Amino acid sequence: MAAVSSTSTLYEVLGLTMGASGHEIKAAYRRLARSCHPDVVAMNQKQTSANEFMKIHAAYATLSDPDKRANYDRDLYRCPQPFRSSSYSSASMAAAASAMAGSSRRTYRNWETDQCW
Amino acid sequence: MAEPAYTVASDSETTGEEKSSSTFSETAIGIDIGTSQCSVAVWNGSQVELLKNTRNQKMMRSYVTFKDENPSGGVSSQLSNEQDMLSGAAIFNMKRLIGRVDTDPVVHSSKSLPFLVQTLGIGVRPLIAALVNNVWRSTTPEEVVAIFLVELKAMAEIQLKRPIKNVVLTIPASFSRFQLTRIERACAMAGLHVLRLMPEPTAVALLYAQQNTSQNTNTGSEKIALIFNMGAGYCDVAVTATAGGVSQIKALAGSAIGGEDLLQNMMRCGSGEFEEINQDVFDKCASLIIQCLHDAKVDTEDVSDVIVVGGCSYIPKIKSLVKSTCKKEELYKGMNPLEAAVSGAALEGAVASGLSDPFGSLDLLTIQVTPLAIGIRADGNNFVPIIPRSTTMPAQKDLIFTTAHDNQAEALIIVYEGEGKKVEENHLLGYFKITGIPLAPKGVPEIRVILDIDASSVLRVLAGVLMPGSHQPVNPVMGVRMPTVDDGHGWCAEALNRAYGSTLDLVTVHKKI
Repeated sequence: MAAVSSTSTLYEVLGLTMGASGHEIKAAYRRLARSCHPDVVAMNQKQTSANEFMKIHAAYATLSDPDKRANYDRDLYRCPQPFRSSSYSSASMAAAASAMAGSSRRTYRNWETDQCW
Repeated sequence: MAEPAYTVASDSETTGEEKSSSTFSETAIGIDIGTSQCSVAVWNGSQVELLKNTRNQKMMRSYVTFKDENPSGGVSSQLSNEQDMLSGAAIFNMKRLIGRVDTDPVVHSSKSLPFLVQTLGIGVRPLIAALVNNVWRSTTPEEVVAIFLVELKAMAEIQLKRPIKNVVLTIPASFSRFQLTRIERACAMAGLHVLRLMPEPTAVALLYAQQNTSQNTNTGSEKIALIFNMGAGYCDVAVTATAGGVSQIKALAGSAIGGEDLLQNMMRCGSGEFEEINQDVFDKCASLIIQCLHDAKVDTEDVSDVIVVGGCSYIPKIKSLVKSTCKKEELYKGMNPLEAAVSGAALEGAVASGLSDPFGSLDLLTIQVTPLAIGIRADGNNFVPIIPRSTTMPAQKDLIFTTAHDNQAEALIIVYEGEGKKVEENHLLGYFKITGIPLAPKGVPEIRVILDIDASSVLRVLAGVLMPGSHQPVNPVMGVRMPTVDDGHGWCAEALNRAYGSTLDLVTVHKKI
């Protein structure tokens, strides 16, 4: 699985250059989905792959929409710092979220089981 | 505690090792529990095969009769005549009633059925009962569905000569997450483990993706299909973009309208033109298609294939309506309309069980979307979506709210799912309170609500308080798995309203741009 760093551009997330065609963007998204989607990875990688897939999908969603892509490209030119999508960059709450969704799941199970009855 | 005779619903939360070993030891079967008919299919090593019962039927009627000591379903038994169906001893249409409360219009429209559907109109589950020797014997939709499932399981076990545990079930797109827990409950009662719950049109989309793999693996060009699936109880629409075995669902739409409504309208009106008396149903069908295309950001000219499946696909008016709404002359011909959904579920079962096929027939992936918006109550009685409908899953979205009153120390997070603008038009999924908000003028504390749908489609709601100038939540973040409400949604919301009024309200923060 390709590691997606939080500081990459959306093009880098999809493994493309800035000149990529719409067709190439769709093909890259499908190719990455086939290796990173939680449904295709081993059980113990599901949560990592979920986070990875969300980044890939966010990149695809922006770059496959001509208007959003144009805006993004403009921002990328204007301010060469890597663009970071707001949903993943926010500090501690998001960290708390991923912590809850991931590692502590096991401990959640018991009370949920009880509650279900 | 003694070992339970059946698996509990929370089995889906078992550890990786347990799950993977059970997942890969057998091929999961696909089950379609329809409002009027049910069927089972399995990947037989080279293709999907529908299983038949002892009477050589692939489609079995979805009903349970409570005539004798042991209830029996339409899979194993045969009604001696149609009269049994009308005597009150047979319970059917349970897919329409499962997980609904007695204020739901769908429940009310079921009160004309021959068995008992008793409503009190207070937002609790209706009482359902069969007439046995002049006694109303109570049952539940979950119990009735579990009885079919037990019969389908036994039928499959005899034919496949192995125990069956893992299943992929198709479900209507409009089912709320609460209704899904009821389906999982029925499966648990039947000793089945749900590997995936697939909205019906997405199962059809997977079959379409498989049929198209051979044609466009190499070219990589994407084909867009619109799937219209209408059975006796539900009408669902999906738009999918397919290439190289990947079925990317672009949008989903659904409603509890179906052949049952057409039938009831005809019985109520007695006379009149079929098209005239059912105009509302047809209008709703067309609006679902239009909504789905809009959500998918797809124009009719981009659609390569229009697929119409389900029992109602045989009605000429339905076919012409879909064709005209999609501006197409022809419909896709490569599928059996009654077998498409269950076949797709069987394909998903094989894929999810880790099977591969030398010819690449199982080289498939479905990218699913949320069928309904999920959000919280804010700005008075409004439903504020945080994850909109047709959002690709897994997903994580957040929205910032703030207090409605000065010095408000607590706030209620009440989570709903649906499409209505007001909370009461949506399904309540659960609620919790956040406490210890530092005293401040209204509008100052930032209450961040995160909705997370993880890789297993589990929804968690997280809420924390941030004060201006700090990036650390002032208190531990609350994280609650939903749905938490087990029954009687209607009165839960009313009780909260009675106890707290608007004192613990939240309002949305308009982001500065």
